[in-house]
Amino acid sequence: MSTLPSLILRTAVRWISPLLLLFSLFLLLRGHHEPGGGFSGGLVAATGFALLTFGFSLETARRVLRVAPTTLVAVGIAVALASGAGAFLLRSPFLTGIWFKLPLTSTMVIELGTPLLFDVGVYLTVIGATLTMLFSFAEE
Amino acid sequence: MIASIVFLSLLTASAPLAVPYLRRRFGYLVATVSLAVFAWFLTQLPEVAEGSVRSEEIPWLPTLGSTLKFQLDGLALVFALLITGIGALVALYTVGYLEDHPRLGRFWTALLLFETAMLGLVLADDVILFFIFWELTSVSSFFLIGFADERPRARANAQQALIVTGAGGLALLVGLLLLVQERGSFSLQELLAAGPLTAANMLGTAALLLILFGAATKSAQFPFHFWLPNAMEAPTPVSAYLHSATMVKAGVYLLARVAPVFRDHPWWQPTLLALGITTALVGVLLAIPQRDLKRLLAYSTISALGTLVFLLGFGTTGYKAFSLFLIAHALYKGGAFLVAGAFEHSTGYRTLDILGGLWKKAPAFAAITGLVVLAAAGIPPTVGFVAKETILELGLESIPWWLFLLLFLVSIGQTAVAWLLLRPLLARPIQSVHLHSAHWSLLTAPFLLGLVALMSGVLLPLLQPLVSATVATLQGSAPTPVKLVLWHGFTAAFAVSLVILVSAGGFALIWPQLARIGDRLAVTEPFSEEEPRGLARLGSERAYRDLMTGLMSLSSLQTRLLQNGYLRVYVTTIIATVLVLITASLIRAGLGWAMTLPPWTPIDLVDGILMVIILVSSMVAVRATERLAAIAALGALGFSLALLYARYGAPDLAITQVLVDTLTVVLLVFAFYRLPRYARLSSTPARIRDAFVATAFGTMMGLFALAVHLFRYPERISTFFAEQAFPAAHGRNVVNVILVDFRALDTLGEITVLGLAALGVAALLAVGKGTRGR
Repeated sequence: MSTLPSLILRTAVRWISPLLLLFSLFLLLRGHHEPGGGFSGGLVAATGFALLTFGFSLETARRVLRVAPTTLVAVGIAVALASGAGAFLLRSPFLTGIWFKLPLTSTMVIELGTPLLFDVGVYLTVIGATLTMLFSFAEE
Repeated sequence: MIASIVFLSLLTASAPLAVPYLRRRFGYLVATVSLAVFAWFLTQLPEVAEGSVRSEEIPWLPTLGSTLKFQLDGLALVFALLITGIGALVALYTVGYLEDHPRLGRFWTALLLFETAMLGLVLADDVILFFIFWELTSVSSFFLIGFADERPRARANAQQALIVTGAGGLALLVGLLLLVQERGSFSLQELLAAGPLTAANMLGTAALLLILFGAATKSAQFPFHFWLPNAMEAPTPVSAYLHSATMVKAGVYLLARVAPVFRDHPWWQPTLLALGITTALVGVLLAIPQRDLKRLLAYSTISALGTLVFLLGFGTTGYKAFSLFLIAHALYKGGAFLVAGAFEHSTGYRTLDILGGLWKKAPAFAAITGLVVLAAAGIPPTVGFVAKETILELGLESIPWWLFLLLFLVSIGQTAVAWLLLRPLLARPIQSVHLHSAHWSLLTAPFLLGLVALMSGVLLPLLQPLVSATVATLQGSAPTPVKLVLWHGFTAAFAVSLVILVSAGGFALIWPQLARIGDRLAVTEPFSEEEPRGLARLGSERAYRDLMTGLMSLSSLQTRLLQNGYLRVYVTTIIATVLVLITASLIRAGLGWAMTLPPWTPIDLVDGILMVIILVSSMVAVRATERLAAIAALGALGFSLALLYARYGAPDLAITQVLVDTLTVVLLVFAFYRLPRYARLSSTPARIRDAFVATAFGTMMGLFALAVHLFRYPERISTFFAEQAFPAAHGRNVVNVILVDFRALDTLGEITVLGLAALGVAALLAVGKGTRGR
């Protein structure tokens, strides 16, 4: 974008973008029990990068993202596929959820499962797809 | 067995990452892995020869009855050995052939994808699994034919091969599903065990025809043979491996596989005999006049594929000859292609009329070519000789004389092709060609293939268990030892064999004249799109070309009608279609006026306010004279909707709605720069029409919502989801559990579509930039 963004926007974005990314992770992780999940988490993360593009420039957003958004799409779909293929090791049908318990302390136990990994795949794909579109629109 | 497929797929996936580092050395890795898999399959031979069938199974779609089931019997084993064994040698050859080609990564990915798919194809016992591997071989073949994508002809021929084999693949899918419908099982084993089908069964007859079509396109049977010579645009290792030794035999494999079901069908035998002998004859007739070595070998491969189909048509008596010829042909034709590639690599030419006198310049090379020719011409003690003797014996014993005469001619032609390979060595050179030194692997690979062909003739007892196991699978019986003898004495078959060798030699000597006749008939050059001449005017490739032209004009016609580039037309079309379809099904379901409406409930204040906002903002969006106002109005509409969702217990939906609306606004802001000035483009009548369509659609959706409210399925799936979400899927957010667990396959499909849509947008915008001369 050729116009010079305002100082207020820049300062705000500097703080809001990381918070949005953190919030997106929060949404992703809580999704299995509370409203949220990979799709909404991915959209929030994409909004964070959209703000970076507004406040600074397309190049900044690309640099912060580090990888090409299309790579994120590919990695996301691959992660989702891999989470489903894991079930084959247990001779169960594709995409069967596998769960195991991770004891942190004697009273606190975290349940982890392949559906979470699947949701991470959705999350990455949504970020990648949204940013692929956004960045190609923003290119001029 | 499954492990071998997993290993090869992992190697395929690692190719793009590993090739940039290992470069040509990656070929050694592929050769080693293929050889290891080959060795594993070889250790299975004793068990398989005794009639035990090894099978491995993983559940796949249990509710549909489809599983990931792999099975190793005699027929699968002989193919698996050819695929991995020749695969190892071709990998070795590629090291010397492609060297450090800049696109080596792409080559290995496609070639390994092929090897994995082909191995999966012959091991698969599930019909769906079989079909997926079948299609994967076509796709990898497409990428390999079009490997030199800077050449327009390579691209066009890759597309042609994909369309021809893809059309056959679709027919095959329908045919297989009909068979599944008829027999009620996805397992090939169970389909076959249920016994033969008779002509009285219409569904079975339709399945037979469709499967035959699929097999004929894949195995380049007449009249679909034309794609195979065109596929010679691929690098030579690919021609040797895919388009001669393995992939083109997939169709033959399929016919051999389903033979027990269709053997007693009255159409089976005549169709296979006619198809096979026609293809075999057309193949050799077109092969001999060729000047280009690779096209020569391609046409002779067509002829060999025809012979295999012909032998299958015999039924039980032909199975021994079928198995022997299958093995012999893969060995000698693979070797012949590799030799032709080595000629080209070290001289720069692969045309018969230029090459000559190479035996003096490169004696080692000449010796290897000689070895391959021995096997190809069927001279004792090679396995080629054993195979040819068996075919001739069969022909002398059990077919009418005129059919034997045709088989005799085919045999002369195939032997003449073998003799022609000697011309580059012995003929008087027309021009002196410079011979530069070749990498050792270019000679080793064909040498080993020739050696195996020679040794398997000498050590015939070692081949015997493999042949008997294959024959047993084809017959669907327990294995009985098949007698294989190298030397029968001076029999009638041997006399015929001598006549064939001598007359074929005669044809090879007068080849320059034959090639000139070929020139006059225009069969020695690739089909010319612009002005077909000679025989090409009658050929099936011309019919294919006309069909494609017709398809193109049909598609541009429908594009002009439905996809004219105006977004408003697209939207109107989609809305009108949905409107008609849903209204029709509502009326058909009998829910028209008969439904009893739910009781009125008073609307509370907040809902009322939200509804007013929604109504007003949609009016504003329609009437807005500025783009920004329209966007703001749509935003207000979206957020009010989200609030309504949140109030009625759908927080996930609300969150998503808010986020999608936010991002839509963001995207629109970026798009602002590209859009033309906001103008009123529609005339008043058009606006009235649009208003009518929109109102009708809204009314229909309202009625639809009411109808959904009244119409319930007997058992409610949502209750199941709500009850099972925590105990079965460890989650309390039912929406999320449905997305990532209960309906994860749908979600996987959706994210794939999302990714593809994003790529599509990026590509479209990139094209726009290109035309603006950036």
